[in-house]
Amino acid sequence: MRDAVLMDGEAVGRALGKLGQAVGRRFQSVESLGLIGIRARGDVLARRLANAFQRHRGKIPVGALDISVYRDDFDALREEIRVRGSEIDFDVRGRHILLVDDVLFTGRSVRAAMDAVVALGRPASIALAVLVDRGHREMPIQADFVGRAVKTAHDEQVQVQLREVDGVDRVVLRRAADRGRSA
Amino acid sequence: MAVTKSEIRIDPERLARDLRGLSRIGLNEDGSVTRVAFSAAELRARHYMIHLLQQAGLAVRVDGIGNLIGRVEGEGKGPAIALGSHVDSVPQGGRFDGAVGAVAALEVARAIRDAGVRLRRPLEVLVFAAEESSRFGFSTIGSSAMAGASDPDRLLALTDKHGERLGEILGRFGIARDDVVAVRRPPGEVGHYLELHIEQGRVLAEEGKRLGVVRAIAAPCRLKITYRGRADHSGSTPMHLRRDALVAAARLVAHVEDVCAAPGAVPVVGTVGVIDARPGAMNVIPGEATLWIDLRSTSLAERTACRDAVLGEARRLAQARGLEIEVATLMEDAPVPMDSGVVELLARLCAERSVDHLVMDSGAGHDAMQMAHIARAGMLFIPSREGISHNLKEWTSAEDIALGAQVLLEAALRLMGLDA
Repeated sequence: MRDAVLMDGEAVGRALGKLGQAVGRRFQSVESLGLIGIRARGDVLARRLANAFQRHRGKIPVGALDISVYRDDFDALREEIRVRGSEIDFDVRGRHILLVDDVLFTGRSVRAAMDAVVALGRPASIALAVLVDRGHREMPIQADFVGRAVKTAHDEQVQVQLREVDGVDRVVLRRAADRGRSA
Repeated sequence: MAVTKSEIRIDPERLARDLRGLSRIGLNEDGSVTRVAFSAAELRARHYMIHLLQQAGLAVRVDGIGNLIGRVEGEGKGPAIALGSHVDSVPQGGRFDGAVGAVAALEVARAIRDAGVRLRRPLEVLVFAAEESSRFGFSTIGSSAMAGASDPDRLLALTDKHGERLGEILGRFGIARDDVVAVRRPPGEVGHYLELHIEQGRVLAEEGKRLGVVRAIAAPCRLKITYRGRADHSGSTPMHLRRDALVAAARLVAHVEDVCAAPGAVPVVGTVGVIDARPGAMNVIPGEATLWIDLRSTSLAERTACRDAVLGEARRLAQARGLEIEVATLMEDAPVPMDSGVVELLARLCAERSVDHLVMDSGAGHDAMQMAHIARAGMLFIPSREGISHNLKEWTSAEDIALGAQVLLEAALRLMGLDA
């Protein structure tokens, strides 16, 4: 294994705790708040954040967003894409929406997610929380809440692994050269 | 106190709002919408519908060809009562075609939920994939797959103008042949299927009626005829030496009109909507011409007689002009009568409400004609202003949409055995 572990389980827990607190400070009232996680890891993080809130502040609606059909390259795509579908069973209109994603990179996913949410109705506001901000934006998008900012090279991969899907909580940096060798 | 049907009302504002929301997806600058089957815009429209259905408390699944099935279980297991339509559109189409029926079906489910009605049978909202034939030259793809009316392999082999097969497109979403085969639902799963749709013609408007109860759906026979002659110089080829494919095609267009305009027991309509002439230069005699012919009627016999007359003339023209001819039948569906019990119920509901209505035939094809293979199907039409459809000027009043949705709701309740 050439992958460098950027964050272990404990670090992921701390970063999520930090995110939760920051979000809690910003949204004094959670009544009109809705969490929407971007599939396939952001939805898991959104659920965790919502569970953490539920203990202290009450129940927050949480949904999962599949942005596939809102990608800016959708009509040109020729490779296979898995559309898993969105599950948002609450009304986004007039609600403060917190988008949650695992990694913020080019910003294209977030743009697609904003379009996808606005198509469902006009929210009061949209904010963004990410576990890892790895830089290299290609769009004017910044997160409101960042678990951890990491300097990376453009051709490196940052992979967030989560218990619910991957069996373990950690963030792995996969170097370009390593990918070449392991391929 | 038991809830009776008369207390249950659809919410016209909510219905209009969601129809507006759907209209924004694939909206063009001129106000028309383009949500061609399996394009990003159509998938976004489905994404929107999934959201609204989930919000309304329906369990939603997407089958192997992209049909949405929203379902509320009933107390009884029995066959479901399904309401639906489609959200794909023709290029630069109107905002009401299909969309009205899909959103009305959703609104009926919401009104029933809001009233706290205990369902005696499961209720389904169906949003069918690829109803329009614009992309693949084949209409009602999703509903015909659900009804088992089309061979899955034939559907998968359908090709759009870019040469892309439906099978390839589905494959990109990870959908395999087996998933498409599994789309078919056995008879008995859906007991009734009701669809609200804009008329797309001017019969209701001309007759001054507010609702149409569809008795039968005319089915299209679609032919693709190619003439092959010789592409020669337009200046140096004397008239008597020419083998002009386009002239034969032009004479056939006129013949289609003559054959269909001749009075028959049941009307047949015939259209040549597309002619493709090659090589397509002013100074070259067209060496090849292809016509796409669409014949429709509620009478299979009358339509077949017209088809035979058109094909006879097509071959005669080829022979007389020394052209090769190739005939392909793209589609040849049988006209579909709607369930007589449902027709009677819809007409009775209109009469009870003193709604001016007309029992009529549908010239256009609809998902209901496919669902009629596996369920007792019926359709309600609402007027299209000036009969315009497949066009940005397509328009139906909010009042007519609300009235149609209300009758749809009452029909669903009656079928559920919830008479007042």
